[in-house]
Amino acid sequence: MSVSILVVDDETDVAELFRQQFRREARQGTYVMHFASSGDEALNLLTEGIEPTLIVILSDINMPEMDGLDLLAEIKRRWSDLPVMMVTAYGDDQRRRRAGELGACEFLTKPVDFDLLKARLAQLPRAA
Amino acid sequence: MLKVISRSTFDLQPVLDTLVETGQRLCGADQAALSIREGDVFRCLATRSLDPAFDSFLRGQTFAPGSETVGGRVALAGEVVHIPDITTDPDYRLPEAATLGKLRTVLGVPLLREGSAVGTLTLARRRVEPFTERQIELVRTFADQAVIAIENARLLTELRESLEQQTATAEVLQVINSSPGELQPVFEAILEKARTHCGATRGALYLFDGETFSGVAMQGLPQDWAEQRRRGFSVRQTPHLEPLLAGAPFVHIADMRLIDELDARAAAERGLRSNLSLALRKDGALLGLITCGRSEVRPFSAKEIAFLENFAAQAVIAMDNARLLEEIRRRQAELRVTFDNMGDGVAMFDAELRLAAWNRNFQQILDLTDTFLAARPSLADYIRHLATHGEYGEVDVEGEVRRLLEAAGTQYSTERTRPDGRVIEIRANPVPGGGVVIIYSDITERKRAEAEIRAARDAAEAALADLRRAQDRLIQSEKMASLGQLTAGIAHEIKNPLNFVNNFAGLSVELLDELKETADPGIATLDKDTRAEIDEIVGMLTGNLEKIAEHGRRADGIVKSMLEHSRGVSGERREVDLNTLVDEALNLAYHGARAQDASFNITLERDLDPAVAPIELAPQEMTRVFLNLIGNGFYAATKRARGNGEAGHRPTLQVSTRDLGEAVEVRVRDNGTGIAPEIRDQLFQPFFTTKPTGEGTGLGLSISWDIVTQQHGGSIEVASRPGEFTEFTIRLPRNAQAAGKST
Repeated sequence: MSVSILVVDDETDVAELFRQQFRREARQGTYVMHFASSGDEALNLLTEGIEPTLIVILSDINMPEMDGLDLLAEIKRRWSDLPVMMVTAYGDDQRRRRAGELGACEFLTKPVDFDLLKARLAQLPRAA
Repeated sequence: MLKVISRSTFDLQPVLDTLVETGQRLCGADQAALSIREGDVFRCLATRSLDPAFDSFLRGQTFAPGSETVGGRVALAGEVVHIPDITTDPDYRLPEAATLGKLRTVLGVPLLREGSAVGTLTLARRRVEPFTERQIELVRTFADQAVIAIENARLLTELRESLEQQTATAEVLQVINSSPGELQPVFEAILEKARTHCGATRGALYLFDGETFSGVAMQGLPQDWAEQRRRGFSVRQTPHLEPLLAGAPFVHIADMRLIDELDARAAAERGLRSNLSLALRKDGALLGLITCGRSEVRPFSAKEIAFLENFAAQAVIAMDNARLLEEIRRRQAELRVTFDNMGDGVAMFDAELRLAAWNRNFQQILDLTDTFLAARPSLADYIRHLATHGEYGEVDVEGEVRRLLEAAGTQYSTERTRPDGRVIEIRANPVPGGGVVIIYSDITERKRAEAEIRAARDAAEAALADLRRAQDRLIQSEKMASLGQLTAGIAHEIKNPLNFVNNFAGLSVELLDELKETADPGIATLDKDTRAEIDEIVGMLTGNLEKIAEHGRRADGIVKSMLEHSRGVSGERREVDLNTLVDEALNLAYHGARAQDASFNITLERDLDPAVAPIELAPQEMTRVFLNLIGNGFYAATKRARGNGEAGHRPTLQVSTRDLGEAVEVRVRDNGTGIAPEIRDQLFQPFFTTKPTGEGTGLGLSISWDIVTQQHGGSIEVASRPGEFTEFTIRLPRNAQAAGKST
């Protein structure tokens, strides 16, 4: 039973990085990776519906046009139960606090520690 | 004859009388008369034994050369004229000689000088009895002697007049000298001399200002008239005086009653008849006039006028001298006043170096008594007086006297503070003819003003220097801050691509392992050489990827430091014992260095001031600063020991703390390689390092700068001498809360 993970980042190489990092999980059918290069694209994908069940969104904060925090607010407004993890190079307290206020379940700093990320993902409920 | 002449030295008349008498006697004449030439005519000046009626007719009578009279014929011809009987001479035209004088035979003899007649001697008889040849010859000879006698008498008279004039002038000059500067007695004396000499009973002296004649001396005038004249009159009121303005030397009026002018009539009513007005001129300009008047009609003689003219010239000089004298006197008085009122004290010592003149301020400035000055002390005594009264402080009095006497011979200027605290400036100027003038100025106020200005200037300069330093610090801080921002920006930009490098490098190592695992069965089937080649390539690829990962981590470390730096310092503040903090940092650094390099060794010297009471600061950040500075010190000291191999060089690091009251100070000093002056400014810039690549990030001092200056409001300075030492001094204000900037 596979579940989906949506990664939102304006850097396209991030998609390649995640694909390679999760190649085993993908091969084993644990996770299905989805990618969006902007907040709008992410919202479109969410509106159309993602199969199989989406369990988490990983979003960069620093993006042109709609930034990660705006996206977070919009997602939480429309799909309030959906877990969102924020990823950023700026590990400052202000952003961390803001992300928490908006309902992010995790705040990760770049470079992403994939071992830690995988552990956190494993703890998520494979709901719906 | 000469006896007579010398006896009556100063009068011609007795000489003429004697000549007439002698002439009559010599030729046995009943009567005789003598006439003297006055210009073109001859005037009868002496008679002898004439009938009274004829005498009064003849005396004063003039005749011209001609045939009408005997005298006229003599004067015309310059020869003896002998008329045996005038009653029978057809050309004779003087009937009175026969009627009044009852004369018959007349003999005329010329008085000749240089061939022309200067006079005639006429001898007559009441009867017709011609003179004998002998008598005529006697008279002719006598006439020659008479001429000489008359000439001598004239010369003597001239001499006497000249003497009189000089005496008068001398007397006027005497008046001037006896009353220096006062003009009135001079005017009076001039008028007196002029008036009495020409027998005038009244007179006045007027000064002329170009418009008005003002009376300055009046003699023999009725009171009211004198008053009126004193007030002055214009020449418009007295047209008869106009010639004076036109340049005439004098105006002579025989009878003022004949002048139809208001003023003239007024004068005449007050008894003025004959009047002479003489111009007083200097360089052609009319200065005034002298008038001499008589109460009767008796015109002034040419001689009197000539005398007065001459005298007037002398009078002008006398008046001028008197005026100059008065001017000098006034100028002297003015100078005296100026001298006394000068701000400076002035003393003049004459050629013998005795006090000759001084002013009030001199006395006041130097506190000298009247008695001391009145004695006119010598310069030496004066200096001695000052020296013994403590003017020069504790000095050898005679030595000072010698020194200053010598100095007085040259021009010099000096300043001195008097015992009473006033500051005086002394200038000595030698006088060309000998002597010296010493000028004292009280410059206390000036000095004080100067000192105030100097103090104000120093304060302003100090303030300016402070401002410059503050500005420099500000510029430095600004530079640091902008560099910090730049650094942060760069770090952020580098961080993402670096993440990719690191991540993909790590992934590639994993992928390579998987590839080897997956390909191993296939590879095993290959021949040995091919297998070895594949293994070698895979080994190299793995090695490369590991190197990429390793250097990526290094770059990541730098980026992390940069970010920490840019994030600034957010550590909490608390009150800590600075000495403990320094000591801990020293131990930490030492053991850290030992852990990296077992051969590391250095002498540590601590000088921690117990007065450094607990101070509030951010301990973690400050520890970083200390570790940084101590680490740098270790590096420099050991580098010098290793590099130069100097015998006897023992790497040493001194750490000291000191309480400065409002601030505390920490010094970290090493005896290492030192810092070249040209790079001292760059020390605190990010990425500036002298260490080889890989050994230092160039951020240590930059971060330390931020922590000390930005977070704690303190200062960090460096002093160094290449090859000897480097010393960092940190000052932290105790009131860090106010000074520090939280970022």
